[in-house]
Amino acid sequence: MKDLSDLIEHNRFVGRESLLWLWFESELFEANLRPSSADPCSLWIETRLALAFERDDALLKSATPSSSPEAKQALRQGKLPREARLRIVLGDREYGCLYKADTLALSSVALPTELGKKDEVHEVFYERMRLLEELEAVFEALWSDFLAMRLGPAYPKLLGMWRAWAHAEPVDPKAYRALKERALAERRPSLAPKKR
Amino acid sequence: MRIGVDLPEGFPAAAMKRIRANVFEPLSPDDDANDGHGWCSMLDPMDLELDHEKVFFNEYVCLGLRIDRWFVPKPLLEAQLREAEASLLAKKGLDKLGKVARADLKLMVLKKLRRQLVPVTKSIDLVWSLDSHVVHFFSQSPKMHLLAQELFEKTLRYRLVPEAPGTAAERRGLSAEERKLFDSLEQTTLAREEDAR
Repeated sequence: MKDLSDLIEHNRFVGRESLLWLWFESELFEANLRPSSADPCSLWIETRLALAFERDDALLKSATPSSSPEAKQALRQGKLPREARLRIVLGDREYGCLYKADTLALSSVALPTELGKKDEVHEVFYERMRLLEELEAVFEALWSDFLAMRLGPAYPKLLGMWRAWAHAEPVDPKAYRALKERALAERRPSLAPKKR
Repeated sequence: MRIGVDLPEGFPAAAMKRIRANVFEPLSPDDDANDGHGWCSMLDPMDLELDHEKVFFNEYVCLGLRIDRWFVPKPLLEAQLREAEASLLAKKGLDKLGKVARADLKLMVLKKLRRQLVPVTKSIDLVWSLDSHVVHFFSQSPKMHLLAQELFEKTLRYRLVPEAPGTAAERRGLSAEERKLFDSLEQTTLAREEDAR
């Protein structure tokens, strides 16, 4: 096994690629994502998107920063998304968070809590943890799906689709879905996420 | 952050003992240290009498990382130091203080001023789910993360693994071949040659 510090520092860019993949899927499927081991959800980028290549950073702030011409331009310049404010809808529950790709961390999380200051403090805590863990389970499932695609034979085709998408060329959602389904069906059991 | 081991039987009692041994100790104005940290109740940072009920919430271990720091405003410190220095020079009939004497005087003035102040208190929640082995630390500051990680590992003697693409991939149980592939990945670029022209 590798040294822990190597594991942490090595290939941090894979986190950025996972965010790129979320952005790609969100745009291709009009925000409707289907993680293989979690319930379907809606996910889109809102208000903040930071892209980077080495020390060259671009921060886009608007209602829908990922749909601005500058966002795709940054991708064409070789930048990858470093962090993004995401909105996630699970059933009738709506979450918001800042996804930091280098550490796969969620920050500034907005949870759809129903309990408040007037309620019993332990119940408030349990509700928050339940909601946070529900949100994390979705990201865990999405990460597993992404990793299977990134490490599998489907990756060159995925890269071709990403490039076409970044250059405003058509990408067939059906062809992508078929590619993804094949990749997920072929993955080793250990790469499949555990059902929660 | 995650913990990669299962817990032994009798863990809560042993953990409580170690948590109590690393509880926050209030700062004293006479200490040389400018800050201190330790565990407190997650629900009340001023509560340092930790017991099972205050720490174990069903499957969660809940702690507050309390960090206290003396904050003496610089202009106030400088004014008081000038005054003390002038008084000492007059008393000793000197023109100037040496470096060491000035540093000693500064510490003395600092300690005197601390007695008139209260330290600035900060508390950050740490929640460890014993079911999922995930430790949530509710701060984004790398410095605070390091502090929490060190104290957690010292207190509970379990190594924390910070979340990162590499550790999250490892957690999936990559085969040797997949690990080799992961290590050899090159960063994706969506730029095409014609984009550079």
